[in-house]
Amino acid sequence: MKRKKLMAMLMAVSVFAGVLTGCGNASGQNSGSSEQRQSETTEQTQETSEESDVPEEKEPLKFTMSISNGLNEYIAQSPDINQDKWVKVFNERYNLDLTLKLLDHKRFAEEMQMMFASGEIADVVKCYDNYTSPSMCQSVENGVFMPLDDILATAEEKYPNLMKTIPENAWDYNKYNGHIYGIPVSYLSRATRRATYIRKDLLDQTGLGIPTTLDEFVEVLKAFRDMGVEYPFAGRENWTYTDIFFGAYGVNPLTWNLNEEGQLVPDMIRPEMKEALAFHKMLKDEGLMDPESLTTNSSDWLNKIYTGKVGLFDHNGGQLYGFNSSLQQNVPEGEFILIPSPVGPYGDQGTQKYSPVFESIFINKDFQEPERIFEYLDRMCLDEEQDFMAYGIKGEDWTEENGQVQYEYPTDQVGIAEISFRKTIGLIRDDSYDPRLLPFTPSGEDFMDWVQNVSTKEGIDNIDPGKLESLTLHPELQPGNGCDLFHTMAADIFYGKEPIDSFDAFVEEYLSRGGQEVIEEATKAYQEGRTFDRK
Amino acid sequence: MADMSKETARGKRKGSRKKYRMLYIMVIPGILYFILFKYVPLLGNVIAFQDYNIFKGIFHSAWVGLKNFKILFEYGDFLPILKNTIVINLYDLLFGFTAPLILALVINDISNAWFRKGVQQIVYLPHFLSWTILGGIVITQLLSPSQGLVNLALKGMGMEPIYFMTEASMARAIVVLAGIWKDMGWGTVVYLAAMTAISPSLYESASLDGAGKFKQLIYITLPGIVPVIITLFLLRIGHFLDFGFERIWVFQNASNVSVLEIFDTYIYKAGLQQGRYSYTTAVGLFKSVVGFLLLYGGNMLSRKTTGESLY
Repeated sequence: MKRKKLMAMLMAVSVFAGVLTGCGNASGQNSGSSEQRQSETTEQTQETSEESDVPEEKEPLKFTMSISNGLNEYIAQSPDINQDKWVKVFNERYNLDLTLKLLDHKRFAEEMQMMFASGEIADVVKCYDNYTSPSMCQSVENGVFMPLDDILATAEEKYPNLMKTIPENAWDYNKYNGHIYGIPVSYLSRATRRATYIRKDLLDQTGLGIPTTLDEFVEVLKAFRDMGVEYPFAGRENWTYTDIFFGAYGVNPLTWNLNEEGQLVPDMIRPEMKEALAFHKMLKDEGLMDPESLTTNSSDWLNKIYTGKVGLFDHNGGQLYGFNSSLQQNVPEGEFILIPSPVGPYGDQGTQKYSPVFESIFINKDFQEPERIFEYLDRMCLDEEQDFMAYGIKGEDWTEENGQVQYEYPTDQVGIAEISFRKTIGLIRDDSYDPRLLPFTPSGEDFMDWVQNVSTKEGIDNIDPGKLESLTLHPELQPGNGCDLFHTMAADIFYGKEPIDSFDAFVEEYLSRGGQEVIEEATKAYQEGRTFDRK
Repeated sequence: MADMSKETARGKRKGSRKKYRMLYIMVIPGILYFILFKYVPLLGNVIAFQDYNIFKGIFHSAWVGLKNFKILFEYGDFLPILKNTIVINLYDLLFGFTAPLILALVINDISNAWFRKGVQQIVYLPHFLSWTILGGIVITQLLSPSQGLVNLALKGMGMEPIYFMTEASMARAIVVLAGIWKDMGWGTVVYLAAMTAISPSLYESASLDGAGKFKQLIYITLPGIVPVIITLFLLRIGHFLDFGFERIWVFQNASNVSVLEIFDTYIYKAGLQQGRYSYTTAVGLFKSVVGFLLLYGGNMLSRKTTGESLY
């Protein structure tokens, strides 16, 4: 009994002591850091007062910037990114005092939410797409960021390089209620990104030429099938990267367009969609399309392609080299090439066009020197600085001889990620393609050829309706969540559980379950100029 | 007289307070933990009654009363989702709970210790795989019509392969069976431990009396672990409706969504993907209320029938 009590006391004491020391440590640290912060701020004010005496030498532009780590391997291997070599080089080269706040790419939306909810918002916030992106948490609508109209009013003279570099439609894409809040630093000069891939070696075996019309494509696919290609054409769950035959009918499960009455409607209810679905069903029934397409996730899909089981598919054109090198590990003689997409019965051709903006930055409304951010961006548009972002330091990482760049493209993942990190903090870039680096990359010339000669001629224009209130109440009407009314109907037709005419019943159900209001809201947004063109 | 008794009562209380002071102190961290991490966050549920805006915070967001609940009840698929949630959970309770028990009884009767250990370790294994990986294995390696093991077996028997993932009628069974596969082995741990506590002399005397293996199981092993079974059952009921998002998400597709849409997946699609915090909180709160009612009912039933209960 006594021993038990003693034990209990000992335990209580130790637990209590643990709690005490725990608290002690925590509070100690806290007070320490706040002291530090105080001393830092006093130093700063001293510096600024000194600085005002010497106006010529500008103090470094001090700002914090939140970015996604983009699963970048170079960032991942750095113990502290703010001590990184390139951050220091940038700081010195451009007279900056940059502090990066890394947000995890996999949980990007959540980490952005946390940042907004905590109130500690970086001076410059970078996010994908424009302000309507879910990760922005409606921060622009809530006045977290600065409207840039005043600065942009005189930008043509003050920041000519920037205004020349970033296309006008990219600025338009960032308009909210007529004001521009976001700077589309990473833009797409070509809105068609996805390309048609075909196995050249197999095509040569068939003896057929490069197909152009739907009939010719079917002929090639049949030849593939008869040769024993397991999946002549392979699609993927939710019809993701299964675009080209939808595009041939001028539609896509994800995009919106005007109908004959001038209403902005989702493509999925347009009559052309019915034809496109019927076409896909025919492909499946004829053994020309992977029948498991709709339950194949991205890694299984890639696996089928890499192991040489697929003859035709579509994906971003820029991945050409990756697809070929993975394929050749399994099928040494295999080779993918990029060809023009199939042309449909109404002359439509290509994949859905992307928005003109890949990433935008937003400036915190409390930030004091927005003009200097613009100065930095303006300078980054110069050829010299674009060279620096692409190749690195001149004389060290690359040289120029007789106007020819002497450079070696890295072969390891970290080295490639290092380039992408430089571009991340350099901000300004054309995300469609990089004419500087492509000539040095394997298959780069082929891709550039596609960008310059094919992508400009194909692709389906569409209109992004922005955020629709009526849609938020109806996930079952929303294109792209994978389990909405459309996908259910499309799967039923594809697998032959319902006749193709069940499409008409779907359209009726879509309209009666709130789709009518959704279309009205989208059309109104279009008429008021609040939608975004993807051309 | 009355004063006296009060005095002694107070004295007693003081005495016991003194006597157990150390114990009280030891309880403090635990209580603090529950208040800070379990009860204070509950207050966050008030945003279900607000039009919550992360930039304004809980204190400055507008109150909207029951609007969010009204939206939920008026939503066209509300009843199917409620039904799916309850049905899938019931299946899981019924089969997911009995499977480990049966497996434990079987394992316990394996007399070869080396073989038993091996079996135990192999059946634990799937527990450590995430749903993403396990779902991928089930969909592509087991159920795929072209290369899945199950379909290869069907073809071997001269039957037509079945495209399981597009058959809505099988979706719930797949989800429940996958759960059994994943956690059945893990669930045997406690049962097996309880079985080792049964005195071997009981088995010896039973076999002397001529009881075979099966009779021993019915009359000795099972009654010996009944308290453990009931405790585990009650704990399990405590998690009713807590089915988890991932487990459904990996199996959900356009063909089977009509029977697989549960509150957790609906919350994800309707709310989190679009930053509608208030609405999702309202849906979550509703789910909790339903879960609580079921828990209360289950607990009462258990108390009436077995005399054991959670509280």
